[in-house]
Amino acid sequence: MDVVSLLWLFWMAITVVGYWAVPARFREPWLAGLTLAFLGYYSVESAVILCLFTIALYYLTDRDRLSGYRTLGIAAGVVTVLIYYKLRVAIGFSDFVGQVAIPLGLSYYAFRCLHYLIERYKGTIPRHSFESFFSYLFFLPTLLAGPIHRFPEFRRDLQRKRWDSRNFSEGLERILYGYLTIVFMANFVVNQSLAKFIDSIDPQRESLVAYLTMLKLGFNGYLQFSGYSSIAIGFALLLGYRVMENFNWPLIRKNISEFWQCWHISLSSWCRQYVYMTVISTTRQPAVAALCSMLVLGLWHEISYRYVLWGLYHGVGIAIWQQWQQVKPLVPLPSGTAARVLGTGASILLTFHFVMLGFLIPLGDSVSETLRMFRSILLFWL
Amino acid sequence: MTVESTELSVFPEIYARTRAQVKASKPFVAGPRDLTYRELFDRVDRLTTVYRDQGLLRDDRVVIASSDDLAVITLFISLVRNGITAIILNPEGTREELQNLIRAADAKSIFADAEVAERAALDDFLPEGTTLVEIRPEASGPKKGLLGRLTGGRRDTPGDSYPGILDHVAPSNDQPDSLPDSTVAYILFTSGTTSRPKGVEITHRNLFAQMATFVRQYGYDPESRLLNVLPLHHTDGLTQGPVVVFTIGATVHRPMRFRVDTLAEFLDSIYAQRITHLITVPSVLALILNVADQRADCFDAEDFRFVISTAAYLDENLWRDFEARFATQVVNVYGLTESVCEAFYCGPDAATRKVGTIGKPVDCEARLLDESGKDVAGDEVGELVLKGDNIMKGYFQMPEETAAVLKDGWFHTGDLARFDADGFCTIVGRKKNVIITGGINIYPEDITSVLRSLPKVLDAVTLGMEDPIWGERVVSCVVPKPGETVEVQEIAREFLDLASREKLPAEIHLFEDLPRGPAGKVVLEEVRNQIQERRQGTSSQGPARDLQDQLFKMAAEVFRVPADELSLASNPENTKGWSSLAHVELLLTLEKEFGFRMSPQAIMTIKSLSDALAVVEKEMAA
Repeated sequence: MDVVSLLWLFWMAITVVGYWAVPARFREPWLAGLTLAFLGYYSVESAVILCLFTIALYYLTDRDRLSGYRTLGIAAGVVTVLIYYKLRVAIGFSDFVGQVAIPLGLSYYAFRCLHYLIERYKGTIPRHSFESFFSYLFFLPTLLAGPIHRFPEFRRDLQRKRWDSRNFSEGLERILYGYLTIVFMANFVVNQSLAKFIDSIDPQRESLVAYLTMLKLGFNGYLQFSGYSSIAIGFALLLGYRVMENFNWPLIRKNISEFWQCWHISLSSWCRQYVYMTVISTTRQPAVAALCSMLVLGLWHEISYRYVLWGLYHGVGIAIWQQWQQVKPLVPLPSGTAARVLGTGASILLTFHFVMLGFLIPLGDSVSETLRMFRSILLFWL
Repeated sequence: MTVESTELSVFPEIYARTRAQVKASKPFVAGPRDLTYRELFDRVDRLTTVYRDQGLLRDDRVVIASSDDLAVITLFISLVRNGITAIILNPEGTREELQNLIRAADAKSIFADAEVAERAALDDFLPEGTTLVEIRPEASGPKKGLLGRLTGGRRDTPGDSYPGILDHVAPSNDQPDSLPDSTVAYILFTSGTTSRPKGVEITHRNLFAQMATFVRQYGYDPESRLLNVLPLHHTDGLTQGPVVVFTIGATVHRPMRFRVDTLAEFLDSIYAQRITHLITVPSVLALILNVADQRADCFDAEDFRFVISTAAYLDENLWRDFEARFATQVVNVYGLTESVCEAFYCGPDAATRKVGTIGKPVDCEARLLDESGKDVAGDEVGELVLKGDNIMKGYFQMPEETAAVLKDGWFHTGDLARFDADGFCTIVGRKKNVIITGGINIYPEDITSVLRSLPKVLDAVTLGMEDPIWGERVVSCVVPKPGETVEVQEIAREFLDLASREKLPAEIHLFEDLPRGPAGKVVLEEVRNQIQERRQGTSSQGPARDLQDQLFKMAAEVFRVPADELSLASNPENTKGWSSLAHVELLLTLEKEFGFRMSPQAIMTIKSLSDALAVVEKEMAA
C-alpha cells in the first residue's frame, strides 16, 4: 500500500471523519475495526494472523505478574513467527508470496508486542483491558510504516482523548509536510532532478557519479521514510494521538552514536532499550552490545546478508566511536573557538559520509556494484 | 457579621435563574457518575417534600456525613434553597468525633452513610425526635429510556434511605420565594476532637457575597469547568467547587479521590475534561512538580486558564518553579473558614499579583493591628483583621468565643502580616496555634489531648515542623507513664480509635521528659531542636543524602556536566552527555565504587538518576 495514492487518502479520510462522527465510546472500536477491515481488504491472512496473535498474547500476559520463563517463551514465539515470515522471503519466495504471505506491518507489530511483553514483565505496564491492547496494536496510522510507538504513551492518549483543534491543525500541517517531503523533495528533487543530473555527467567521471549516486540513495531513503513518518504522525494527530517522532535531523550529527539517537528513533531506541541494555547487563561490554543491537536492527529490516553487513558496519562504527571516547581525553587536541568550529564541521562531515556510504550496502544494485562504488568513492584519486 | 440584616438572600433568584437558563442535560458535577442539572433540580424538589414531611422549618439544622459526593452536594443545595442550615461533617471521623460534633450541632435530622451511622452508633446515640436517613450507595443512576420509565423504578436503594426515599415522594417546587440573608446557610466545624467544637456560621449574605467575588475575580462563566477534589467538609472543597459553579450554571469536576498513586490520571483529566481552573492546595502543587517530567504538558490545553492555590502557605520557590515548569499561572489566595473561604487574592489580574505575597484584599477591608489594637505603621507586622460581607456571623452557640474574634465587625484572624509600600500583603506568622498540613488545619491541642488520654501516656506535646511537600508536618512527642513500655505503632493504633486519620501525627517521638521553662510550659523550640537532632542521628536521611551526593558526583563526571545541574529527575532525555555509552559508564562506575554487581533486571530498570539511586540503595541494603 503506497501512502502516495488516492486510495490511502481515502482510507485516512473515512477513518478520521468516522472517528469524530461516532459517539465517543465507539471511537476506539471504530478505529480498531477499520484497521482490521483495512488489513482484511488487502490481506485476509494478515488480518486473521494478527488478530489471533493479539488475542493469544493478551490472554497469555493477562496476569498480575509475568514469570521470566513465561516471558521468554512468549517472546520466543513472537520472534519465531517474525523470523519465519522473513525467512520465507529471504529464501526466495518473495515473488510468489510477496505482500500476501508476510502479514502487513508484521515487523512493526512484532516489535510492539515485544516491547509490551518486556514492559509487562518489568511491571511498568499494569493490567488493563483487552480493548486498549487491541486498539494499540490495530492503530491504522502506524500500522504499515511505524513509528514503533509505545504502549504507556498510547494508553495515556487513549485516556485523554478528545477533540482538539490544535492537534487537528497540526496533524494536517504534518501530513502536508510529509507529502511535500516525499513528492517534492524525494521524488522530484532527488529521484528526478538529481538523477537527471547524474545521467548527464560524463560516465568517465566515475567517482563523481558514484558519489552523487550514493547521495541520491541516501537522501531518497531518508526523505521517503521521514515523509512516511510525518504522514503517520499527522494522521495520528488527526485522531487525537501524539505518537513518537522518528527523525530529528539525523544527517547533521557529530558522531554515529548521535546519528542513531536521531535516525528511526522508535526502532533505534527500541534496540537500545531491549537489546543493548540486555547485552550490557550480562556482558558489561559496550562494543559487543553495540554490535548485537545493530545486527538486530539490520535483521529487523530484512533477513539478508546485505542487512547483516549493514548492521555490522554500523555496529563497528559505534564500537570505534566508543573506543575513541575512551582515548579522546588523552589526545592533545587543539582548543579555541576556530578549532572547535572546524572540529565540529569535520565531525559532521565524517558522520554524514559514514552513514551515506553505509546506505550503499543494502540499497546498492548488487554486492559487486556496491564494492565498485565504495572503491570509486573512497579511492577517487586512483 | 453580628448585626442581623433585614435584606433578602439572593439565592432564590440565583436558583431560579440557573434553573431557567442552564441546559438540563448539562453536568453540574462530573465524575465517575455525573449529576446533571435536571437530576439536581428533580432531587431538590423531592427533597423539599422530604423536609416538609420531616417537619423541618427555616433555620432548623441538618447534618450531612457522607463519602458520596453527589449526595452531599445535592443535600447541601436543597437545604440551603429551603433556608435550612446544612452542617457537613467529615465522614471519616471516629465515633467520638462524630458523636461530639452531632451533639454540638443540635440538628433535627441527619443524613449519613450507613457505614458512618454504624461507626458513630447513631441508632443508640441520637436524641429522641432526631431523624436519621441513611445514605446508601447508588448502584446506578436513574433508569434511562422508555423501559426504565415504564418499569417505574428509579434507584436501587431501599425506600427508607437516600436516594431511594426520593422515589416515594412527589416533587415539590414550592421552596420559599424569599429568605432573609441573615439565614445561616451552613456551619462548618473547625475543630472538635475532644475540645468544645467550634462551628463557623455562614449566612446567605456571607456565602453569596463570596460567590460573587469568586465569579468576578476568577472570571468564571457558564463555560467554566472547575477541577476541585478537595473534601466537601472543608470550605475550599465546598464553596470553591459545587456552590460557586451552581451560581453560574457551570460544571465542577470531581473525577476521583485525590491519591498520590493516581496523580497522573488526575493530571490527564485536565486535558481530557477541558478543565479551565484547577483549585488545589500547595502540597498537591509540590507533588505535581515532582512528576513534571512525565506530565510536562498537563496544563498545555487551550481551555486551561490558571491554578488556584488555597488553604495553606504557598512557598515562593514552589510558586515560581511551578509557573516556570508548566507555563501556567498560579493564583495564590488567602482566607479562613470564618471569611467563607478567601479574603486576599494574588492574581489573576496584574493589579493584585505579586509573587511571594497573598496579594490584596478583594471585596473586604483589611487592617493590621498591634497588641493594643491600634493600626500598625508603615510596613510593620501586625495581626490581620478583616471586615466585609464575607465575614461569618459567629461561632455556633459560642457568644464568648465569637466576641473574642469579632470586634466592631472586624474579624481577628490570628495571623501576623505585613503590607508593603504597594499594598501587597505577606503573612509572616501565626498568633494562634494551628498547624496547616496539606491545606488542612490541625489544632495541636486536639492531638495532644487525644494522646494524653491514652492509657500508657503521661504527657504529650504536638507541634508543626516545616515540610517541603505538605507545608508542615504534625509531629508529636509522647512521654510514657513510669514503668510502661510503649511502641510508637501502639500509640498510633490507639490514637486512630479516638481521632480520624487526617489528625494522626506524621511523626511520633518517645521522650523521657519534655523540656519545660520556669513556668512549667513546654519549650517548643527546644523540642523542635531535639527532634531535628534525632532525625539527623537516627533516620536514614543522613546516609541517604550522602549516597545521593555521591551518585550526583559520579554522574557529573561521567556525563561531563556540573553536579548542580543534576537532580533525581535527570534522565537521558533531559541530560546533556547521557548517551548510551555514558549510561554504561555510569553503571560500571556505580558497580566499581559501591562494590556490587547489579542484576540484569536492575540494570534494565534504570532510566533516571532516581532509578539509579533506588538500585544502589537496594543493593547496599542487600
